Amino acid sequence: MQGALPARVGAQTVWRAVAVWMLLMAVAGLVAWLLYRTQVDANRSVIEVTQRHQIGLAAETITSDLGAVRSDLLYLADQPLLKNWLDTGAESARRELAADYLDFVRRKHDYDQLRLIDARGRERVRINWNGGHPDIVPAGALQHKGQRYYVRDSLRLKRNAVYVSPFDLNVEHGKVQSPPRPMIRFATPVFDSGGSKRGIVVLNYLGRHILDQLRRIGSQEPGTLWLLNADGYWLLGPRSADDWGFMFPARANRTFGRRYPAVWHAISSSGGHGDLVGHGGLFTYRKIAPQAFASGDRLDKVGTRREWILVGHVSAAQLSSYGGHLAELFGWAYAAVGLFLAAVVSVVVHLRGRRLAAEQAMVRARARYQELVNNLTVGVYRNTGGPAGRFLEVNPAMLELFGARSREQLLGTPVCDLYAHPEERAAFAEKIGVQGHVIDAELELKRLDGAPFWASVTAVQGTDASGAAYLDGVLMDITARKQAQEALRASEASFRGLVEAAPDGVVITDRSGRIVLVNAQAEQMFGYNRDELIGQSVDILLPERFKGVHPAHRESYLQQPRSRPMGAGLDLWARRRDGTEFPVAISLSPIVTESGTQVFSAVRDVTARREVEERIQSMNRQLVRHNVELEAVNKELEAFSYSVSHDLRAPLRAIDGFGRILQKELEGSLEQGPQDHLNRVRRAAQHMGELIDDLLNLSRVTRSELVVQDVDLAEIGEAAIGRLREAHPDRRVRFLCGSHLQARGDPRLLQVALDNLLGNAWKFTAGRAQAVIELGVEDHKATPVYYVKDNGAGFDMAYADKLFGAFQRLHDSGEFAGTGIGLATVQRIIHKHGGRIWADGKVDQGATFYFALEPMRDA
Amino acid sequence: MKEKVILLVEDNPDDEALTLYALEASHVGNPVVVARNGVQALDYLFGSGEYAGRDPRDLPAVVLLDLKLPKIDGLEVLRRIRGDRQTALLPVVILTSSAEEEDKAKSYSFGANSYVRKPVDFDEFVHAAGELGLYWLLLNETPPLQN
Repeated sequence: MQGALPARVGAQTVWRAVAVWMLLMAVAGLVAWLLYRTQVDANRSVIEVTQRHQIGLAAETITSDLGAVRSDLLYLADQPLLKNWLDTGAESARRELAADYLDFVRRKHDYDQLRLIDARGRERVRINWNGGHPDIVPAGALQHKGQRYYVRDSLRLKRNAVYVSPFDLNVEHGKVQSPPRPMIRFATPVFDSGGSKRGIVVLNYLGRHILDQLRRIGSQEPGTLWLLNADGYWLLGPRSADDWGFMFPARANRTFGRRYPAVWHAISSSGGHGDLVGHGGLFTYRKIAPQAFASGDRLDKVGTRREWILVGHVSAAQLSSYGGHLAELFGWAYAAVGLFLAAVVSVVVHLRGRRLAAEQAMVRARARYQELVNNLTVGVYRNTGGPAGRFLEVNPAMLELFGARSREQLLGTPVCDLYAHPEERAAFAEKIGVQGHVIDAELELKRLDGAPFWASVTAVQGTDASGAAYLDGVLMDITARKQAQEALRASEASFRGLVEAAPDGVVITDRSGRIVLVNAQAEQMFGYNRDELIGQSVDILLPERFKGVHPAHRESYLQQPRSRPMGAGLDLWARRRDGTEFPVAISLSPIVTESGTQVFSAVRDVTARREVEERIQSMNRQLVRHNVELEAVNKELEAFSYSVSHDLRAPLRAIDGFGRILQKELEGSLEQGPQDHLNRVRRAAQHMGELIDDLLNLSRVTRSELVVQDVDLAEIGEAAIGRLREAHPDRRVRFLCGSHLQARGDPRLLQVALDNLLGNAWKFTAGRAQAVIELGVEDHKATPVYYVKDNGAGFDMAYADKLFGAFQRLHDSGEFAGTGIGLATVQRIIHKHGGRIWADGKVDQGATFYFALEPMRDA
Repeated sequence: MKEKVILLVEDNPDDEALTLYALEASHVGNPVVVARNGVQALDYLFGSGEYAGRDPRDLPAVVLLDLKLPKIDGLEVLRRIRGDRQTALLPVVILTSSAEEEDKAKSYSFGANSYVRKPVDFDEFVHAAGELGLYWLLLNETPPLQN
């Protein structure tokens, strides 16, 4: 699902992630800043404490050192040798004292000078440190110092009081000694044994020592340690050039106060110590009063002015360098946090994106499922189980199935009300309760309007979180299926009925040739019971000699199954239970069923048919034999006819011809008797010629092939009458005939027939003044029957059966000429057409000859 | 001008006599040469056999040909007459007693100019012979002589 987010969502997510990240960065920044501040403050505090501690240490060092100096001074002032000299004033004593002082100075290192100045201000003993080689200044080199401020001030002191000079640079002969020698002069009055003040002991303390110590202390981080005098001049300052400003006119303005006015003001007006932070940085200060290490007896006013101020200075740059370091540290840390947060945010965004995508996918999937369920044309539902169940969910197909107007209507209907037989609900609910599911259960349900329908229900039982059972199911309207099944059952029943009713034995086999079904006729035919045949191979119904090849035939039939009609030219035999064989005709039809192709065989016992066939065959053979004989007869007849037409007529011609010639030769000489005899000879020959012609005609009719086509009998009739009129122009005969008389027949033979019939009519109406001959047709039960009618001599119906016999005549040849073969010929022609001829007539009432050219319906 | 002969091909002597009588009775004056069988008829026409040396270009006016003949029958004679360039257009009248349709059809298809059935009644025969003579000997224009 990654990367499947739409771009819009992705951009939105990215912007939101950036916003979240910036917010987090702001918070982190704030926290970092606070931490930074705290750290800076802590650092400041550490610095301050360090500074204070430094200052304290410095103050203590000073106090301690100067305390030691005081102790030394007081010791020197009280020394017995001094007392001795003071008391005696002996030179030796002074020398002893001087030697002792020298020894002292040599040992101490800290003092530049040790002097004994008498009450008048004259130096009496003086030891110079002399750069590490102390010596006793000779008497002659001693000076008068009575005018010096410290001498004057010191001489006024009481016992054990100590004068401490301002910390300044040593001045020799009115000039600041170079290199500068910081110096503090300590002095205390000396008293002789009598207690009178005899002068002062002065120790020039080398301030360098203190300054060195301060420098050492101050050299430690973070700041610098300064020493100011009460006027704000640096005794130990940031630069040696700024130090001792009060000693050099040129440096008179180089004071702390000028450099840091505000700080100086605060320090001046405040108590003994404190901290100040200003533009110049951190200032830690402590005021040291020299009297603290001088005599505690009293403080002179001068002493108050001689306070020193220790200042520890940490410059703003130094301070900020710490802060800067921190800031850099925090900067890196912040950046690291930023990166970390960015990473976290991206991971969160990524995960969130994935979750979002997954959620969207789930939403889509859910929508798809919803759509799927809604689109399904089968009902999908969830209902509460038990007999009193109600629907919890239904899809639109359910509404349609039950004819509900709305979902609510269906949800509000108890499920059992939707059963066509509500009592079935309990049984169904119990079944599903026991099995946990039902598959394709068929139920008769009813729609909300009460119309019942068949449904297939497949449902599974589930349990919700509260433990209540519910059913999820699909429901299909299978009314059509049910009806189809009913129809199928009915058609199966009728199929079985058909099979049973079939006149043939029916054997249905499956692909492997096993018998699946037989009917009663098959049982009877083969002498088996149905139970004995079902499941057996069809081979048990075959004669032994066919069993080997039958499976191969069966297989090849199944390769190309097709209907094969009964008795398709095969000599088939079947075998009864008792082993007897009988000939059969078998029709095969493939039946495609769900379980594969089956073969429907209808078996007919053709024993009887075989016998008939054999009889027919034998008759056919006989017929063929007869035909051959007939053909031979016909051939003979043809030869006979040919010979008759040639050979029999030639003698007749000779008889008639030579008779005629004889008549002619004897003309006039013959008497009536021989003349008449010669005429009879000739008539007889001529009659025989006619007989031969008519017989040949008849035989031609018999032999000729029938060529059936549409003919117009009226046209043929008109032509025949035309010929008759030509031959007998003296006759007046009325011929009645329609313009068309359609018939189907052989035109040549029909012409012969009409020639004969019309010729007869013509002949037998010879005696009529108003001779009428009619040719027409009338319908006789849809068969056209043609007729030739005349008003001639007619005939006696008693002899009607003799009319059509050959050589049969009903009239005397003297009355009407004729051979008696014409009607026989006509009848043969009509019979050749498959038709019929008959006659109707009365003597002197005319005759009518009817003929049909096709079989009569009632014939 | 010498009258052209009539070639009568007839094997029956009675019929021969009657035909000659009928022709005579019909006043046909042309000489009649009688061939008694098909071979003789062809020999006469083509100047071969017993008639060797006869000028075959001297054709008869008409051939009266019976169908039923010994040796070579009438139809074969007709076929040979029509098969030879010299005699292809020679008038041939079939004179027979056969009334068979087949004979009639064959004769015409082999190129017969007429088919006359010899009737039994001699008067009719004389009448028919007279008409034949009138038509073939007097009215019909013979085709130009082939060289």
